Amino acid sequence: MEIVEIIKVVVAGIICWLNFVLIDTYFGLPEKPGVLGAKTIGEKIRDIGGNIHGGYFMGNIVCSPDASAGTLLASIMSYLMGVEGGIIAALLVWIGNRLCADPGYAGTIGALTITAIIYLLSPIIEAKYFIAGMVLAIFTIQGFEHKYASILLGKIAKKMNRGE
Amino acid sequence: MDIVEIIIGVIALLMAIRIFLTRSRARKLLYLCCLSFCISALIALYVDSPMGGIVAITYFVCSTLSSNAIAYTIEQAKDIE
Amino acid sequence: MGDIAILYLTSLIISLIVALILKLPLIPKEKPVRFSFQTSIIFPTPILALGIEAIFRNLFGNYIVLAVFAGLFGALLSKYSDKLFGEP
Repeated sequence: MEIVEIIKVVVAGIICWLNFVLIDTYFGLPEKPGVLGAKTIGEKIRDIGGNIHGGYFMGNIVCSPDASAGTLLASIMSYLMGVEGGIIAALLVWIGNRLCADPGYAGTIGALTITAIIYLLSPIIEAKYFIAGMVLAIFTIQGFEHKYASILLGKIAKKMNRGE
Repeated sequence: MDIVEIIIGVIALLMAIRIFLTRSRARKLLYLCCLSFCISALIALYVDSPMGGIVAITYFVCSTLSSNAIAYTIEQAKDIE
Repeated sequence: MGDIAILYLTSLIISLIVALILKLPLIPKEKPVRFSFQTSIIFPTPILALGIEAIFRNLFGNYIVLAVFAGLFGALLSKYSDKLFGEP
C-alpha cells in the first residue's frame, strides 16, 4: 500500500515539474531578471559554476510567485475545495504577482493548467499527492544542487528559444 | 501520520539544516523559498478547511514579498560597498 | 450543477461586456506580450471575474445578483490594476 502511494507522489511530482518548468520557461523567466533581486541570485549561481539563465530562472521563482507557486497553491485549493478553489488560487496568485511587480501571466496560467490536470486525473491520483509532488519538484530545483539544476534549466531555456 | 505529511516534513527539516550550513547570503534565499513551499503545504494539510487554504496562500505570497525585499537589499548593499 | 454553471457564465459575460465598455484592448498592445503589464479583455479579466464569483458563491450563496457584481468588480479591478498596485 505504501509503495502505491509513493509511486503516486512521484508521478504527480513529474507532472508538476513539467507543468511549471515549461510554463515558466515559455513566459520568459530565464530571459531576463524581472526584478533587481533576481539579478543578484543569477550572478551568485554563475559564480559557483552554473548557467546564468538558469540562475535568473531560480531568482525569479524566489522573488515573485510564478508558475511554481501557482502550481502549489492551486493543488492546495483543489485538495480543499475542488475546481472552484483552483480559480480562487489563480485570482490570489495574480494579486500576489502584481504586488511583486510581475505581469502575472506565468502564475495564473500555471494555476489554471494544474487545476485542469488535477480535475482530469482525480479518479487515479488524488489532489493530496500533487501537493507532495510539487514540494518534491521544487526541492529538485531550489534545494538539491544549485549548479546542476541551473545548467539543466539553461539547456531547457536554450531549447525553447528563451535566452541565447 | 500520512505518507504525504512525512515526505513534506522531511524535506522541510532538510532545508532548515541546509539554510544554517550555507555561507552565501543570496543562496540561503533559495533554500528559504523551498522551506516556504513546505510550510505552506503543511498549513493546508493540517488546517484542512477552505480558510486554511487562504491562510496558506497569504503566507506564501507574503514570504515571497519579503524574499523580494531581502534580495533587493543585498543588491543595493553591494553598490554601497 | 446547472445553476452553478449559469452563475459562472453570468459573471463571465458581464465582465466581458463591462471590459468592452471600459475600452480595454483585446490583447496588450506592447510587444512581446509576455512582458507587458497592460491588462486586456483576454487576460486577466475573465480569470478575475470567475475568481471573485467563486469567493462570493462560497461565502454568501447562489445569488444571480452577486454574479453580476462579481463580473463588474472583475472588470473594474482589471481596468484600474495599475492605479491599485502602482506603476511597475
